[in-house]
Amino acid sequence: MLNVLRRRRGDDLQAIAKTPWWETHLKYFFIAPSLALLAVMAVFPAIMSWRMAFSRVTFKLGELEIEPIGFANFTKVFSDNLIIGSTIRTGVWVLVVVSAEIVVGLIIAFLMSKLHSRARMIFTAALIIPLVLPPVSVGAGWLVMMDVNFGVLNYLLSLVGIESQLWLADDRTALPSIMLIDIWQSSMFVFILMYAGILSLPQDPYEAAAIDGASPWQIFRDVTIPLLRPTFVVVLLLRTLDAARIADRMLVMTRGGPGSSTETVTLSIYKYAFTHFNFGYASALSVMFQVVLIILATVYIRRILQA
Amino acid sequence: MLPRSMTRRQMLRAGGGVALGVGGAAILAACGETQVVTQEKIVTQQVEKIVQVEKEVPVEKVVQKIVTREVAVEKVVTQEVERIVTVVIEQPIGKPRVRLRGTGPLGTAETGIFDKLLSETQIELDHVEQPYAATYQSLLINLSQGGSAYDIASMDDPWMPQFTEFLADITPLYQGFGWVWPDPDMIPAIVDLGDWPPGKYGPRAVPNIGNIQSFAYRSDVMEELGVEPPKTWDDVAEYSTKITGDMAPDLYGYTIRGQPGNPAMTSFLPIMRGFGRDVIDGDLNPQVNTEEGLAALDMVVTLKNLAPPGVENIGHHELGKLMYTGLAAMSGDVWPDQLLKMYTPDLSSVVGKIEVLPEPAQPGADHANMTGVWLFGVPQGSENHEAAAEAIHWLTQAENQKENMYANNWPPVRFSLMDDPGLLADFPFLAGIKNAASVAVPRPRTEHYSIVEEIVGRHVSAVIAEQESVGDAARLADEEVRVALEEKGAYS
Repeated sequence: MLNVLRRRRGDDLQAIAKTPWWETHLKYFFIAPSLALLAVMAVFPAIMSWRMAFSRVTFKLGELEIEPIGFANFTKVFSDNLIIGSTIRTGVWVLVVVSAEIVVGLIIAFLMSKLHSRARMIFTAALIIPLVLPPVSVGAGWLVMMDVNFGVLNYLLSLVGIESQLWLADDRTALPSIMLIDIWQSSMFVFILMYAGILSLPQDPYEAAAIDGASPWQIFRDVTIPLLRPTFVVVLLLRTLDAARIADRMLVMTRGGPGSSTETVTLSIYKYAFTHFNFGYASALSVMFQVVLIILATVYIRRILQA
Repeated sequence: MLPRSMTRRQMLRAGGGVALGVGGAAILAACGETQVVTQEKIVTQQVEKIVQVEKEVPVEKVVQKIVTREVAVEKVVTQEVERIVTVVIEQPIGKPRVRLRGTGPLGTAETGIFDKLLSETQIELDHVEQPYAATYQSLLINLSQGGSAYDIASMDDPWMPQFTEFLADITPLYQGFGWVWPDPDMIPAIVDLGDWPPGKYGPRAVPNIGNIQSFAYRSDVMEELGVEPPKTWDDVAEYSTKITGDMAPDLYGYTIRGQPGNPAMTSFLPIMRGFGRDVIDGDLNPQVNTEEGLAALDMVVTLKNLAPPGVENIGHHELGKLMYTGLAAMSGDVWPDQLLKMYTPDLSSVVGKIEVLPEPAQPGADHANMTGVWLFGVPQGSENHEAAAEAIHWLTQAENQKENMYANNWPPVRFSLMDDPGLLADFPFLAGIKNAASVAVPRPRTEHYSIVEEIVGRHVSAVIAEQESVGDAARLADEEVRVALEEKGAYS
């Protein structure tokens, strides 16, 4: 037996020795394009962004003049009222939309898991439609529907005797209106993940709870929710990062207005970069934003690993 | 056949072979023979086109026409009484087909303008269509970095102070073809927009679209009120008060754009200038927090309160819609494309009821309609300067500008077309645009205008939304503009 194994091992070693070099290193050839792409598309811009964050950047014909100015771009952030306002608004946005989306997504997922399999298929297909629509198209569509004078929403309200709403035209209702649209669209993402999580839960705890005479609410609260904890953390991580980066919807629907009532951090960064062409300051803001998101993600991922 | 098992190595080899084969085939296909336009084809296209356009023109003029299009004609022979002609051409034998790429408003492919350009000049123009802001951003990055992504840049006039140093000089390019620049048929004030700072770099752009902002009003409503068209902003406020008071919610007196940045600023600027001051002075000092600026902002608040609900979040298209659906009686922020809609029976409920005027101005102040002229330039980084100049020359010819007026409602920049009886008959508002053009002034000429526009436009939007008081908005706008321009080194 031992001899047979030795002979096989010897054959393997012989085979490896005969293998051409390119074949033994083939894996690196396969990875190389992705690595090169990553370096060009992600690593190099990230390094440039950090460099610009500590510099004043000026456009010259054929070149970017990058003059180091230390931490000036970073210290400016704390006296910039637009950024302070955008940061608070973004925080509120993340808190509200992520919480609401998790609640809505979970409820839909739970109800869906109770449905007949055919009904599940039909409803799932219908529910993911908002999810597959591009945010810019969604924003443009809702902008038309929320038009104060010609929009279908105010028309429908008028049919039931409710007066026209200003929706996006009032600084008190503009952000909540966009939040509603985001909740409508992104809850379906939460639903998909939660639904998959619910379907993959083990049945034993449910049987034990039923034997112990637990009510449906007790089962949901004390069995389903704790078992879904890892899914919750994943959803929370993905949705928080995504919600914090919101800019496209505002850009299409309100340009950050009225005034600056819907301006978020990423929209401000975009304006500083591409309207003021202040790439140094915009890079400093991006770097700070990036650091905050990395800290958040690290905390979440630790929770996932613990869970 | 029985299925054959494969080792992982064999599968990798086979996969690699297939990938190489597919890749090789694609490369070979890409290296295929390029399209060659024969002399005969060029001749046919030339003749067909000219016969079509110049049906009633004698043969001598056809010959002349061909010569001016830089096609050397050796012989023209009429075969019949009508325009069936045979042209023998020495040049452009083998004139290579050139492919250019341009962005910004160049023309509309549906009208066949790019096909016509190709058939007459052998220049194939790829039009990269982008929204306004994206056009500006991609042009600034490409032009400033000396990139060759674009051969023709179509630019809004407020961008010119930022772009001129990155563009090629038009004069030698035109002289190379034997053309005169500046073209004496083009409105000089508009041509000058392509030269910034005046005389420093020389002319860098050729105007193509003579967009002028104008004040539009409902003539039937003015008649009903028994008043003359408004001349001052006080008149506008007074008439708007009457209109909104008597006729709302069916009709409101005035409409304004409230979205922050460019929209709010574009609605605000004619009002501010109508009070006798610009948002920044010649030394780039901000001017909103001045007596005139504060009065202009007060006027904005007054007019906003007389406007249809929801103007706090409207842009260009929505403002046009409020006018052509007959919900608003006046606006000082109306552009030619919106006028066309107001004159389109399928869309508009106010056809024939809209008149165009220069912007109102308070006593002692000048009327100041804003230019929104689009100009063509050749980026320095382009590798096709001559071909780009040839295409620009071709695109800005009178017949193409006329076609653009019909297809896109792009007002021409040529005297000969502004007074063209046919155009005036088809576009009655053209006379008003011409009057507005006579008092038009560009937006403040500085490379930092986009910053000023973003900051002041945001605070004007906040005033319209009642988020900030007039005093706070003016103070904050001036402070922020000064800080931003100081950072840009504008005062050093």
